[in-house]
Amino acid sequence: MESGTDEAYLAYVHGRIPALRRIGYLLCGDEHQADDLVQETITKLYARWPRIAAVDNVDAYTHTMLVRAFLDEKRRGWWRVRLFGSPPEHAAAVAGAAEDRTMLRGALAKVAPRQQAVLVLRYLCDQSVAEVAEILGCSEGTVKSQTTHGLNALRRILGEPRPVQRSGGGR
Amino acid sequence: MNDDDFGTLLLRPLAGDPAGSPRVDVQRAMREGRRMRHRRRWSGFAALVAALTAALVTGSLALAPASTGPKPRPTLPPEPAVPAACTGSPLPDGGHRAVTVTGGDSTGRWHVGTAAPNAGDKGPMLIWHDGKLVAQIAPPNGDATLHDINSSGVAVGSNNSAWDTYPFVYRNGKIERLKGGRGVASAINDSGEIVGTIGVNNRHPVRWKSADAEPETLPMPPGATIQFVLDVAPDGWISGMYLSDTYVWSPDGQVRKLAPPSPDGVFRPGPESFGFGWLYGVSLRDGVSRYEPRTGTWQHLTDAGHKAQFPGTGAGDAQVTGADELSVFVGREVLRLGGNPIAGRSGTYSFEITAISADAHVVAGYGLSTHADPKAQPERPFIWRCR
Repeated sequence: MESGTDEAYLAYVHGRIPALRRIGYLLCGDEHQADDLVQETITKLYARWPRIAAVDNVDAYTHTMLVRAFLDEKRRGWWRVRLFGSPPEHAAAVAGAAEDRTMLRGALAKVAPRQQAVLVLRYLCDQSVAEVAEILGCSEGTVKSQTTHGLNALRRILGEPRPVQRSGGGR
Repeated sequence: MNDDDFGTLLLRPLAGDPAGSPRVDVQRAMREGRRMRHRRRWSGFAALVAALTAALVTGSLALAPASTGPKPRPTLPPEPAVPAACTGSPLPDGGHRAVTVTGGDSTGRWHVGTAAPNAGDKGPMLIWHDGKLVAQIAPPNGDATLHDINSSGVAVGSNNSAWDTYPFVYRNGKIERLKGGRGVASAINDSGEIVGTIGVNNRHPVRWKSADAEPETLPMPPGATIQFVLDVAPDGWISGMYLSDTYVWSPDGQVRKLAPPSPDGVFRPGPESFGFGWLYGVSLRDGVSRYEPRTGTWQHLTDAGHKAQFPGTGAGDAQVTGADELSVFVGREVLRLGGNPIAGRSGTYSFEITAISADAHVVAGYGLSTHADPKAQPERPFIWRCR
């Protein structure tokens, strides 16, 4: 199939939507917003698709657009991040793992957006430092320092939490 | 434990896949993507005008009552006059590096903002009057934001701690806590009514009839939860949201969950989202719509939600480069604010419009580079005057 055609675009996008939704969801924590991020990403991907043959790593290119859409949304939606900080709270009605998620998501939302992206890509999407550097268009050293800053911010926000150790855990 | 082990264990509870089936529309992406190709090819401007015009014509034909809610009455708010031209200029920044405008009043004379727009920043809360910086206020507990201001110069806000946030009012040069305990004050109208939420772990929507009043709890549908109360209109209508659900309360306190007109549609209003008698909202997927609460009327304004904003909705990517223009909705029309007002800067900038006056003669917001680290290209406050 010739790259740059509608047929190639459809085959690529249909194969990648589940993975893109998952990354979007892990970045923002809201499935509807994740769908919006994916919609924006595949729209821009289509706009650039005729020249896609010039791109070495289409997956990394697409992930970059998704993360940029997320970062743009964080900037545009300043009030969601800055003013209110935490996610929907209904702690009284939830317990255990769900409560962990609510608290963590709230804490993560208060970390600087690029650091959020680094933490999610590295620790929830299993991306290497080099892969994250390619997606964010920065050096590996920057990814490492953003990781440290992001984790330190989480420590401050959560008050030096101890990660939950669960036997048989793992992703 | 090293950083990687710590990070992996700490974030593990957030792992998982989104529930439900995808709401991604590939055909729509191709239609929109084709338009974007066109915009590039034809240097943007002419195609943008055509796309907006087409969308607005479509929008005018798409007038439809809500599928639920009261029976529409024939009277809709009068459409405002759209100014002919606008001039943008920087708002004074008090010497602070990064400054954003967070809200404004109905007259366009008062605006509020912050010199600490990003988490971890330190800086005062700001008030402008007639485009002049008239107050720099030390935030209580070191980190707080003014969210809104009314035509009497009374502002409301809250501090930014997730665990110990409380609502306050700023008047006569002083910060005073609002009654009711911990929570957030989101908006104030010219009658002095303030809306927000009370509670941290269990939020409920409230209205303070005045800055001295006890909060009045607003009802929610059975089983529903509130995330943010967003805005209060001049006539007392109130908006709020929980994730993708939007609620409105009538001035007499009746709650209604909005049902967007398109099947499975999403309608996201923001702060300052009441304007010209309507509630404006956006979805990257569905574009920009507005809802008239008295009659329950929906209007879809454009599905090309990329270029025209409404304050606080975050609508549109609002990136300006070259011949692109910033635009904002005035009524159902688009007011063009002009090109990038950041003098001497090159590249692509993103703008967030955060306030528009009732007569559409004053618009305010801020801009920042879309590519650079925000620390290197900080947020800049702007005001546009239109005639």
